Amino acid sequence: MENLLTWITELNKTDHTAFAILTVVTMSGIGVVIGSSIELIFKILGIKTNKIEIHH
Amino acid sequence: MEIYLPIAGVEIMAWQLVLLGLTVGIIGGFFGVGGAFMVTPALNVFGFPMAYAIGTDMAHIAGKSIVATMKHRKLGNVDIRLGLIMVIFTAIGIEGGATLIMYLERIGRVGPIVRITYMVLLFGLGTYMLQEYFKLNSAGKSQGKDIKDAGVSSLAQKMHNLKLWPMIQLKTSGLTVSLWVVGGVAMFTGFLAGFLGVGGGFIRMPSLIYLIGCPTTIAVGTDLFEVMISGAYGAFSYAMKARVELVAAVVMLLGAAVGAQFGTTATKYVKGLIIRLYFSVTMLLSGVSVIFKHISAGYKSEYEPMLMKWVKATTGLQDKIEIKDWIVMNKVAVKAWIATQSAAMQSAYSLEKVWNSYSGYLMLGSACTLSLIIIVKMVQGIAKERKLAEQSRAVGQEA
Repeated sequence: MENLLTWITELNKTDHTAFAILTVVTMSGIGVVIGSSIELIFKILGIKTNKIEIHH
Repeated sequence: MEIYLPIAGVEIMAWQLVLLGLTVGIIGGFFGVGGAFMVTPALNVFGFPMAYAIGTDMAHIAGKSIVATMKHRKLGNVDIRLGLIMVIFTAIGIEGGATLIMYLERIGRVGPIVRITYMVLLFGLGTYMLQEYFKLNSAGKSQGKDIKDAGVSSLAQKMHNLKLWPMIQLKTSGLTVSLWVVGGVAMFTGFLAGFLGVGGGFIRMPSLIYLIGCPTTIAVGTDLFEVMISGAYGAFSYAMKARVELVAAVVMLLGAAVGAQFGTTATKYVKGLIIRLYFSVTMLLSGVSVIFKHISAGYKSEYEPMLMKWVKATTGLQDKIEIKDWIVMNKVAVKAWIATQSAAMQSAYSLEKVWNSYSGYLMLGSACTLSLIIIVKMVQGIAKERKLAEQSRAVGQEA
């Protein structure tokens, strides 16, 4: 963990492009994984996530 | 658990970041906004320098809005054609707004003008939407009807009457409008976002309702689709400038990704009109928060020029941004210098911090309260849905 933090801090100082790519990929990846996991939990619990009627 | 964030030079409790992410995730999924207007002042209160607060917030929005958009897409709330057209024209508008900011920066009037525009916008939007809610609610009561959402506004109807070629059909929204109407609205909201230096979700969502005529839930989902794209771009851009505290953004996202799912699910159980009511109250509270920020900036202007002169003289730095960075990273030296100044300057320094914290705590308190209300509404909705399902099953068995 300590090494990972040091590596991220160093990368932020030395290579901004690599750090920017790492940021976007990490955040998108975590978003997709957590989003899909909760969808699965909702499915198991039987909470429907289908289309809803549009109140216009 | 306390974590040290080396990029921003801040120590913070992990639960604070998770809680902030969770509450703003719920609100973002419910309103279809990124929520920067709540996260940035809250992070600032937690000790983040402003530039890092904005960059870290942008990074967490990039992840959170993916979760919320995926969910809204399942609920049928995302008009992709409308969203893609909006993204292109919004980008043009943002460039225009940013150019005006650079001009104002050169003539030295940028801070107060941006804050006053922000206040007018927040109070104007909040008051208009609140007034509309009470008008429709009392009309519904007098007619004995349960009004679920307001219809297409008169302004949107006028927009629909502009039959300028090419007309585009927006099947998800159930609308046919001119491409130039959508483009014009997107450029206008983009210009405001670029001018205010915000993501602009809180401007775009009501614009989709009142200017284009989208139903509330479609406006929420489509706006989030845009936030997802602009958030990824913003995260990349701020990371390129070394202004993202990645560890903090990841910890916040753990809460925000869960919150976004809950907030989005809640839109299934809450009437469009009620979403507008909550949104208007949030806008008004944000307006009060900006007033506090404005007062804080007034105190800052009393000591900052002298402080910058001192930094320039002692460090030899010439660039304004580099000097401000130095001030952020050398808090102890700055405090020692302030202690040697006049009582009036010391007072201005401490009052600036006090009003800044009022602004942050107001947003933090609002976010916690509102997210709790949204969760209660979601749980009530799910319970009601289950009860109805059981009743219909029982009726089916009897038959």
